[in-house]
Amino acid sequence: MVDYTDIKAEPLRRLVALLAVAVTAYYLWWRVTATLNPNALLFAWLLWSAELFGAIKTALLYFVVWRPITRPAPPPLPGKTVDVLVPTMNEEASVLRTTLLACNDMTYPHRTIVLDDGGREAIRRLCEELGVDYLARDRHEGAKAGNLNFGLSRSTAEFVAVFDADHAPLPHFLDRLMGFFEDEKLAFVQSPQDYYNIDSFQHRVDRGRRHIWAEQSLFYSLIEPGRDRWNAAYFVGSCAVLRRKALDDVDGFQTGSITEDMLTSIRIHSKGWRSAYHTEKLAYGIAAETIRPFLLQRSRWGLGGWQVFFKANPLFLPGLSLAQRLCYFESLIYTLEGFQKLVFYLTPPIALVTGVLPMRALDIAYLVHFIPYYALSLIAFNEMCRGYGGILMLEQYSMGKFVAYMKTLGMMLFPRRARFHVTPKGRHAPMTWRLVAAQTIVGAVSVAAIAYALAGLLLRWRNDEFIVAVNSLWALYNSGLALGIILFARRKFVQRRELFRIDDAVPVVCRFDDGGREVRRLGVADDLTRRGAGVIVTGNRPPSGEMSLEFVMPSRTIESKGRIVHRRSVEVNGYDATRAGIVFTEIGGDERDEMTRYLHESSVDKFMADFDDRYRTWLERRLDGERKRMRRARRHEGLVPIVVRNGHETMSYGVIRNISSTGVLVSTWDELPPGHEVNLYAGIGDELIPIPGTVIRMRRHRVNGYHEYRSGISFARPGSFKVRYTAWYVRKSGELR
Amino acid sequence: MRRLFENDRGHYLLLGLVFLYGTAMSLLRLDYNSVFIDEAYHIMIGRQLLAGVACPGCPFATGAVTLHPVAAAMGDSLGGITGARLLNTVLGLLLTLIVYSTGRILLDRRRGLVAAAVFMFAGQTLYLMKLATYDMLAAFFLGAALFLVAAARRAEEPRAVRTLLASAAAALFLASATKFLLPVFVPAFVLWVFLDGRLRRSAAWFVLPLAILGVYFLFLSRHHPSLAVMGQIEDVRTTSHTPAGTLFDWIFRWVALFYLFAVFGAFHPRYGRTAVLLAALSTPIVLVHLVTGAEQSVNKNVIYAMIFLAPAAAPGIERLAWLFSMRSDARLVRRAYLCAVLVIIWVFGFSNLRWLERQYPDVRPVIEFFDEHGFDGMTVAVNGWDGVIYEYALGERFPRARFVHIEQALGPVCGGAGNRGGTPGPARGAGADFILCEDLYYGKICPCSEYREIFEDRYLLVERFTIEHSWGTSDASIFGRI
Repeated sequence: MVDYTDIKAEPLRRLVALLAVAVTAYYLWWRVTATLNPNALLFAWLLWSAELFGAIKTALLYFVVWRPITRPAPPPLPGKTVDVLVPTMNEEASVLRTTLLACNDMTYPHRTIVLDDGGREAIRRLCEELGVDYLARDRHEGAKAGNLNFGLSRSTAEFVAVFDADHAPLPHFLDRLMGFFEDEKLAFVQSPQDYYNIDSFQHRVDRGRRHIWAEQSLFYSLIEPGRDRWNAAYFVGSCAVLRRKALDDVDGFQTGSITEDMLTSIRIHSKGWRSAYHTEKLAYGIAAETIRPFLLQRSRWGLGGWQVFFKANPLFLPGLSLAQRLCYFESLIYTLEGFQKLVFYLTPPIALVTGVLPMRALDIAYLVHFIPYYALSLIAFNEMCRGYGGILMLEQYSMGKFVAYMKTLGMMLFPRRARFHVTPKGRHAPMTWRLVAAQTIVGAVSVAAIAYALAGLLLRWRNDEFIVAVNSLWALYNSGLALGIILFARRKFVQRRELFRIDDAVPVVCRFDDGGREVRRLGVADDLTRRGAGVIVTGNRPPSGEMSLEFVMPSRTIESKGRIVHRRSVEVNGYDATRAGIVFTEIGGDERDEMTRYLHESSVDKFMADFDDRYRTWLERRLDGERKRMRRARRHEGLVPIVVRNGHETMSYGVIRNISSTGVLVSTWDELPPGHEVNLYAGIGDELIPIPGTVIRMRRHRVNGYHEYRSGISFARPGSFKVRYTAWYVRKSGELR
Repeated sequence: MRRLFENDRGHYLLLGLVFLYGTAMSLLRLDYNSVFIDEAYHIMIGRQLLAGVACPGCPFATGAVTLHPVAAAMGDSLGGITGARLLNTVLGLLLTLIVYSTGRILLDRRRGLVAAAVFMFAGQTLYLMKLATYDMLAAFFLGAALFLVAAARRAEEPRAVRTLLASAAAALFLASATKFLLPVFVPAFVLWVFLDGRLRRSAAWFVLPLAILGVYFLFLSRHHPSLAVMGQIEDVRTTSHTPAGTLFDWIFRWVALFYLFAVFGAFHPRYGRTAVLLAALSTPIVLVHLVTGAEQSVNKNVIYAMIFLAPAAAPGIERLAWLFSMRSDARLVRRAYLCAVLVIIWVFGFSNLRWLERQYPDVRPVIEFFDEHGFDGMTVAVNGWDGVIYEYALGERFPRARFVHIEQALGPVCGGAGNRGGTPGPARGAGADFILCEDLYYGKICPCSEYREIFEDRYLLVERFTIEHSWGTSDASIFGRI
C-alpha cells in the first residue's frame, strides 16, 4: 500500500498537471483558431475532436486521482453477521473449489453461499462436500445481478461479501474490511481485484527486475483510491463487502445493466450512502489468459457503461455530488476512446497517401506548439499516474481493444445482439486472426502508407519530405502498437501451460527407482500447481519415470506420487542437477486441498509480494531520493535443499535461495533468530555438506497461517572448500530455472 | 541482423556500407550541375594566388584565401571542376569518420554508427561533398574540433588532455579562418570547456592557443578578413529582412527532424545529457541566422549544426526504435524498427539532396551557347553577380573574353543597387557583344527588365533558356548586338 501523503513529489506533480491542462487548453484553442485545414475540414475536425476527447479524458483523470487516499484497516466490528455470496454460471468446479476452500478459511465468522445459475449437480455436490450452502434459481433473470438478488433474498445477514467464482479471498479478508462499517452511513468497502496468473494477457512481467505491469493496476491502485477521496469509489462486482441496509435502500443489485456493479454503486451513492476503498490485496483471481476473454470482458464493460449512461446518467441523476458526477462520467466515457484511437491510427496513413494534412501546414509553428504540449502532457500523465501508468503499455492495450469499444455503441443501438457472457478462463479456443484483424489492418495500412510515401519521395512524384518523415514516424509507432499487441496475443495462445505455476521453494523428499534400488534424494519444488510441480533434484543419477514425493509444507507433509513429463539437467562435478516437471498421479483429496490452500493463501501472496507493480516517477526520484540499496556481495540465484540444525536439538528442512562469497539466504518454516549459530547441511546428491554459520537477519514473510522465514546467514568459514562447492552448485542449479 | 550490429565484422561492414553509399552518391553525380558561382569564384582566386598574379577578388572572400581557394585550385588543376569537387568528397568522407568517432567516444560504438549513418544520409552532407566551396573544409575543421574536445574528455593523462585541447583550438581556428562565419561556434566551445568538470582544469590550453591564433590571423596575417568583407557582412545584416517565421521554416526544414530525434535522445537514461549538450552546441549557426535574419546560404550552413546533431540524434533514434518496437525483448524486432527509422531518414536526406542539387541554376545551356556562338575577345554583360562562372567555364577556350556586370557596361540603373560589390571589370561604357539577362542570383535586386529600355534598340534577343530549379523555373535570355 502506498501512502501518498508521504511522497514529497505530490504537490509538484499536481502543479505539473495543472500546467499541462492549461497548456493543453491553449494548444487546442490555437489548433482550432489557427491550424484547421480549410481544404480538408472533415479530416481537420475529426483529428481535433480526437485531441479534444483525449484532453477531456485526461483532465477528468487528473481530477479523479488528484489526491488518492490510503485507508488503514480498522479493527473488525465484532458480532456482525456476514454472508459470502459466490455467484457462478459455468465456471469449472475445480476453479470454484479453490474459491470455496478460501472462503471457508476466512477467519471472521460468516456463511458461504454459492449461487449457481448453471444449476449443476457437480457444484451442488461440491458445496455439500465443503459444507457450503448451495442455491440455484429456477428463472435466470437479471444475469449476475439477478442471481445476487436471489442470494440476497435468502440471506438475513447484515453484510454480504461478493466474490466471483474465480476469486479466492485470503483468510483475513473480512477481518480487514469489517472495521470500516463502524461508519453507519458506509454502504460498501471495495478491495482490489488482483490476479496471480501473471502470464495472462493482461500482465507484462519483467522477471529480472521483479516488476509487473498489469493492465488494471492503474484502476485498482490509483483510480479507486482517487475516487475514494471524492466518496465515489465504486463496487466492481467482486472482492467487496456491502451493507445489506444500503442494498435494500436501492432495491438490491441493479439489473438494468450488465455492469450491475457500477449501476448499483451510482444508485447507492445517489441515496447519500458512502463508500470506501481499501488498497490492500485481499483476494487473488485469474485474469483473462488470452485476448479472446479479454475482449469479451471489455465489450461487456463497454456495453454496460453505455447502459449506465442512458439509465442512470451520473450527470443528471439526483443526489450525487459534483465530484461524484465527474468521477462517474470519467468512468463512462472511456468507451469512446475506440473512436478517438481510430482517428489517431488513420491520420498518418491518410496524410502519407493523399498528402493532405488535417492542419494547414506541418511547419515549425506547429511543432513549436505541439512538442511542448505533448511533452508536458506525457510528463504530467506519468506523474499523475504515480508509477502505475506505463503509457506505452496503455497505448498497446488501447490498440488491442479499440474495435471492441467501438462495437459496444452498435451493441447498445441494436440491443438484441447483446448477450451476457461470462469471461471464460483458460485457453480453450485457438487463436483466430479475426481477434486481431483490425490491428493487423492498422499495422499493414501504416506500413503500406509509409512505403508508398517513401517511394513517392524517391521517385520524385512528391516533395513534402518533412511531412512524409513525421507522418512515417507516427505510422511506424502505430504499426509498433499493432505488432506488439498481435504478437503478444499470439504468444498467449501458444503457451502450453494449462494452470499457472506459482514460483515457490518448498523442500521435497523424493524417492525413485534406480535399477531396482530405491534412491532417496532431497529436492526443491520451485513451482507448484494443484496438479503438479517442478522439482529440482540433485544426484549423480537423474530421476526418471515415477517418483514418490513428500512436500515438506509449513503445516504438514504432503505425500504424493508423480510422473516425470519432462526433464532438464546440468552436470556439476559428476552430479546431475535435474529439474523434473512432474504431474501428480496419486494424491489424496485432503492433500490436494491442503496444497490448494497453501498455494492460494501463502504461495500466491509471497510470489506476488516478490514483484513490484509500481515504478518511481521522475519527480519522486528527484524529490524523495533514491532508494537505499544495501551494499552486498554478488549473489548467485539458485535453489538447493538444506537441513538446518538450530542450536542443539531442533532439525528442519529449508532451501538456499541464493549464495554469495560471504553468506546465504535461506527459507525455512521455523524461526532462526538473529545472532544464533546454525549448522546448514546442503543436500547435494547423496551428501549433506555442512556449512556452519550465524544468522545475521531474519524476515518473516507476510503469510496467512503459513509461516516462512527468510534468514541471512553469514558463513563461519567463508572461503572453505565446502562453501565454494555449494556456491558452485547453487549457481549451476540456477541455470535450470 | 543481431550479428551484423554486434560483432566487429558486421559493425565495420555496416560502417563500410555507409561510406560506400556516400562515395557512390557523390561520385556518380559529381557533374550534377554547372559550376556554382562560389565554386568558380574560389577556384579563380586560388588560381591567381598560385600563379602569383593580382587577386582582385581576394579582399572580398569570406574565408581565408590561402586555405580552401588554393586547395580547390589545385584540385581544379588536376581534374577541372570534378577534381575540385572530389576534394570535398574526400573531406566529407573524413568528416563522416570524425562524426562516427565522436559518436563512439561520447556515446558508444553502435550509436556512433547510427550517427555516421544519419550524417551521411543527410542531404547537406552529400550535397556539400560535391560542391567545391569552402563549406566542407570548414565543416571538417569544426568536426575535428568537436572530436578533439570529446577525446580530451576521455583522455586520462593531463598531458594528453592539454595536447588534445590545444589541437582542438587549432582546428576551431582553422574552421573559423576557412569560413569567417564559424567563429559563432567559439563561445559555445569555450563554454563547454569551462563548464565540463574534466576539462575545466586544462581550459587555458584551449582558450590561449585559440586567442593567439585569432589575434595573429586578425592583425598579423597577410590574408586577414578585410574591411570589405566586414562591410559585406554588415550589408547582409542590414539588408536582410526575411521574416523570422520564414527563416524558421527554411532552417528547420533541414534540421527539425534531427532536433526531434535529439529531444528523444534527451530522455535516454545514459546518453540524455550528451544529447542535450550536442544539441545545444549545434544552435549557434541557427541562432546567427535567426538573429540577423540572413537567408544567404542557410541551406548550406545547416551542415555545421548537423555535425553536432547527428550524434545527438543517435540515442534518440535508438530510443525511438525501441519505443516503436514496444520495448520488445526480441533484438530482431528492435533492429528492424531501427532500420525502418533509418530508412525514413535516408529517404528524407535523399529527397533533400535532389532538391539541393537543383537549388542553383544549371547554366550549362548558356555555356554551350557561348561555346558555340562566342568568340575570343568578346565582352558579355551579365545581369548577375558577375561573370565569374563564364570566365571559369570558358576561360580556356576564350582567354580574352570578358564577362562584366551589366551596370558596368550600360551604366547604373535602380539607383546603383544592381552591382553589389562585384569584381572590378572593364571601364563603364565599354560596348558589350552580348547581354546575358539571368535574374538568377542577385539580379533580382535590379532585374534585367530595368535595363531593357537602354539596350533594346541596339540588341536583339538571340536565345532564351528556361532553367528549372527545385523551387521553380527562371529564364536566361541572351541578347546580341545588332
